[in-house]
Amino acid sequence: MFKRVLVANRGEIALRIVRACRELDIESIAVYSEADVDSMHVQLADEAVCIGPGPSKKSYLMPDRIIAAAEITGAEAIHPGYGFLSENARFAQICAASGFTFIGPSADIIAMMGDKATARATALANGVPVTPGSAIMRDPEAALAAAKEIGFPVMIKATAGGGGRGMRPCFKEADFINLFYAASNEALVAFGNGECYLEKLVINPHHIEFQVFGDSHGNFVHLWERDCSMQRRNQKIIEECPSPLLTPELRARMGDASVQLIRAINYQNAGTIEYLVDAATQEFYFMEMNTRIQVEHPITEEVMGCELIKEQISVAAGEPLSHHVYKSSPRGHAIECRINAEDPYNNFAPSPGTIDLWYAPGGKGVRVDTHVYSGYTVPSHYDSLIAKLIVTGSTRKIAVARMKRALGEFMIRGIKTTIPFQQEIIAHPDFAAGTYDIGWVARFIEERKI
Amino acid sequence: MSDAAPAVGSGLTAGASPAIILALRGSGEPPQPLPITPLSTVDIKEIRSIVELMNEHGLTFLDLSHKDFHIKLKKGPDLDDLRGLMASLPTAVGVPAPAAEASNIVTALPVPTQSAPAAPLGKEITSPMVGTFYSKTAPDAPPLVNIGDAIAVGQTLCIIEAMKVMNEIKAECSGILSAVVAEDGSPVQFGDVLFRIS
Repeated sequence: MFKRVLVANRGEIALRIVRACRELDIESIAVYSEADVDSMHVQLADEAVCIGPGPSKKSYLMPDRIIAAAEITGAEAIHPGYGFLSENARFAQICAASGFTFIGPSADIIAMMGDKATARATALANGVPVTPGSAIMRDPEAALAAAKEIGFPVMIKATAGGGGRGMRPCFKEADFINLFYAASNEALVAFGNGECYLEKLVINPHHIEFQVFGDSHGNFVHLWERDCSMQRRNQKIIEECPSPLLTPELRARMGDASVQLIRAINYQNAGTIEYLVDAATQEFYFMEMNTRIQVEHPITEEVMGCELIKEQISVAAGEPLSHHVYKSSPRGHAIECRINAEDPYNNFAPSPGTIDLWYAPGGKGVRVDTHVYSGYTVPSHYDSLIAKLIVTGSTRKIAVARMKRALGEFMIRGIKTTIPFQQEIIAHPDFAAGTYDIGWVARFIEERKI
Repeated sequence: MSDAAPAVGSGLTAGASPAIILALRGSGEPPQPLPITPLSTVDIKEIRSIVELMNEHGLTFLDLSHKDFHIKLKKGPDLDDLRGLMASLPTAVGVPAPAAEASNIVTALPVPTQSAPAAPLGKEITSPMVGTFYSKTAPDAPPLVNIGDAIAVGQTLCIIEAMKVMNEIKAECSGILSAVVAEDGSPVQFGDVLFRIS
């Protein structure tokens, strides 16, 4: 097992990893930008190294600074978290070449499954259904021809995209070229790669993803699913486990396909396979695979009784899957709200600033993963996630009531947050009934004319 | 005070002053008294109608002012009061001191000071990268610069090693080297002060 692990990330996930390390008696090393000097993960890690100024491009996205920090602190392994360099194959490669264990799958796997077009091809080749789509289209005119063949509406997707960026739905031929450039440029700026491919746009699908895990001893499992259909502009805002939609039969089909895929490619460590599900036909389609830990991993932890970050570390250290992961079974229901520093009634405009009053909810079945505290200043350089509120109940009905209660107790003063908006969603009859798809939030906002 | 939800206006007579109205509560919750102005100009029947109207329409709060009369009726827990209570607490609660177990090798730096006054010994040259600082190009070589040296723009001041590469750090301003702050062979992080130039 490692003695020292460097956490190559920030915010709540960096703290999450620091906590897991502490419970494993592993010394944690935080790297931070000048804008994050007051962050909780920096305070609680065993060591901390400043790697650059605020902007991510000059700090968290600099592989050489992170490796240098690992060198001077004697780290043995590097946990990349999510976002930033976590799905950067070159970074994984540099880690290995520099003698550090990258906590995640190999650089080859990251390159293969991280590239969305290649991942689709790999899924297809291994018996996993995919939505009709195209290969990478470099020429907008050729892309338009391919779109016409697939049939509108299509989704233009950047192959390097993630977190909802670099995606544009296109319903009409006339809009295609402009949207193609928009998606490509957004991805170029955010991920350094503007290449795009096309996918048939399934109307009102459900986004259901499977947590998977592989080790170096030939063990491959899935840990059930998460329903992440509650999205605004392709960014998840509420997730739940299990999905209110899945029948045991569909779950078995999707779970088997997921395990089959990771076994075929010998996938190591944690990963998530994202599917679109057509509720009417009970068909599921491979969308993409995230070769890293997900933001919403806590709801799987709560329901399946597993510890995913610790498992990532131990599997990276060469251990087989823990018994409680390998033999996990679900119990109860969990829901997560991503609390963002945004004003939901002003087009979700980012709301950085100083939080001068912070009271997080507690009580039975309430978990809050956050790096924020009273007096903390939310910087403007990074994404707006400030906390994850996770509730667990023995039934879905209890979990919903619990989330209602917990959101009502959550006090954050000094900035705007998405809490009131999430309260509206949780209180909505569609949520209580579990009947919502990817288009629900957009329709809800439209109806309310926020 | 009784625990049972009281009828509004129990024990009150018109003309009594100062009077207290017990706020409506759900069953089982202790009543919360609210001080108000005398009731001489208001009929208890009117208050009862207001309460019934509130229940009918599912209202939980009423704040009514009229001439010399002011009434507040609340139903249920009061988050505004709780927020007010929290607001009056010292806001430093919850901000931890840097962890006692923070390492002594490379610890969290206070934010490099753009706003601090210039050090009396001159301008600070800070590290543009993370790595190991060397004041010389080889273990047995003399230091690249010494205190008192005249420094020109572009002159190599030190080496910072990272990822097996020896990076030459060059001066971006000229002057006289007034201090060597970083220690030869020690790890440095972004923003650490290496030298001072006056």
